[in-house]
Amino acid sequence: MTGIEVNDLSVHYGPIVALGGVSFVAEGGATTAVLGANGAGKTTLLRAMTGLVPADSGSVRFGDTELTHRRVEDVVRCGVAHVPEGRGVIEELTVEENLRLGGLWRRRSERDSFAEVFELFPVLRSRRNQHAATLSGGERQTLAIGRALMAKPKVLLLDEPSLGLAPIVTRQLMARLASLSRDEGLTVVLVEQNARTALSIASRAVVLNLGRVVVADSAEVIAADAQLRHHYLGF
Amino acid sequence: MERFVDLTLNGVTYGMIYAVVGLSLVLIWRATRVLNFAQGAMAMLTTYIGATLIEHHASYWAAVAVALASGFVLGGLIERVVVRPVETGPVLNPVIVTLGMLVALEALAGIIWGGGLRSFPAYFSQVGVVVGKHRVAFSHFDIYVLASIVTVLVLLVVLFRFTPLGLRMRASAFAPEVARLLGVRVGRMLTLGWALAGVVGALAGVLVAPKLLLSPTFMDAVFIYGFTAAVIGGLESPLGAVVGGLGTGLALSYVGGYLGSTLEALGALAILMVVLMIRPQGVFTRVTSRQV
Repeated sequence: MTGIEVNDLSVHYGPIVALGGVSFVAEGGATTAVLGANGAGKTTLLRAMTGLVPADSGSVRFGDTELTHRRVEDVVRCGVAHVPEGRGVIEELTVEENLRLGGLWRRRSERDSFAEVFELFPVLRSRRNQHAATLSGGERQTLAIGRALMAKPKVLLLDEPSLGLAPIVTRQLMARLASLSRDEGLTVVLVEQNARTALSIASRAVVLNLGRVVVADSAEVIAADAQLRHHYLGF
Repeated sequence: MERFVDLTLNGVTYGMIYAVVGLSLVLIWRATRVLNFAQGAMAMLTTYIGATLIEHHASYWAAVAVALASGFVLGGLIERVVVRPVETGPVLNPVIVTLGMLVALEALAGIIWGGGLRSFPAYFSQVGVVVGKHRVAFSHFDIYVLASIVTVLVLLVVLFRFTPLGLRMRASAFAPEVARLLGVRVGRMLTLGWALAGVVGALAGVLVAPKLLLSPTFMDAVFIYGFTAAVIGGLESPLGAVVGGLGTGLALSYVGGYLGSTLEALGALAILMVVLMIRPQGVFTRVTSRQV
């Protein structure tokens, strides 16, 4: 299983340093949490990894594949799927159309991953002909993740999946993600503001502050460090 | 009563042409959020190309095919070369650019073909068919106009609703960033949206040309009525553009027939004002707040 390796990645928005030389490794087949307060650079990190914002310097590698400076459209073809912040479902399309879109770049014979996704998220099957606009927050997040899985990715980048979800829905979602990583060998990079939940399923964690890595260690060590939690993670 | 029937038939034929122009504006608006003021001028240019071929003894069908194909190329070309660079700037920039294109294309047509009027042949008879004892204002050519427009509408619905390409195009229009993350080549889809709009506009041009006379500005009025149709529909909705086009065509036909043809343009303006005052978002648009 291949991991994803971020090396000295920097992003500037005008004079503002959003990412100042971030390096970390997300091990293959494991879940890596990226934690930090608002404005720490978590979302920018994911967006730079898939090319949605141009990186000023540094590199992103996935196994032998160089992702840096690749076009956004091609990153998913390399096996890296990115579920953006704010759910990213296309409200004007039906659930089924959203899902189909996720696998559309693949060869025709390989496109049909509906059965697997429906097995994983049965709620999507019962809603398949509804417009995505009619879904609840949790269902939308489920749809966004299911759509990413239609591409059969090896790496899943998730941006704040718990945002705006009820705690119980968040717990269910996290359990689902943990089993995906465990059973399917999926490499997950989980950006979360909700550090406690993220640490409960992640094996490793990276803590960001003001665009720099404060610490990268195993999830247990970070969860056990009271001072770190207090300063950067808010619990 | 006879007069009413004639005016209604006349209104339906013109209305469908306005509907097609409105639809081409909706295609572009949905793809790139640009109101293309040069749409009429583009159709004018492609119609001139068709007319030139006919003057050089090409068959009507070959001329129409070339006109539609040049609409495809012209639409795609304008998106890539002229619109793409200004798309990310202030919203007024594409408006100014397409207005500039309108002036430039009309001037270009004037330089190549001169400002004089030309005729464009109708392939079918333009004399009204006889129903019972009366000759109604509906000719074989009008039947051909309606049939080709309905065919194009059906083809577009099939494309957008039922094909992977249509799904990609809709996704690119609604959520370009998400679409890119899912591997859709959004840039190509937007170019294709403009190219299709170019074809649809070109069709309107060759269909309306035999009813009017060809000149560099002959599509201006048709464009304005098509624009009215699109705005009535809310710019978002293809169905809205069609209904808006029919409504505009009928209303203008009645205004022209009962109140005098000089009042037609004023009628379009009145419709536009009333719609914008009562439902500024258009009749067929559901207002949804969009998360950014």
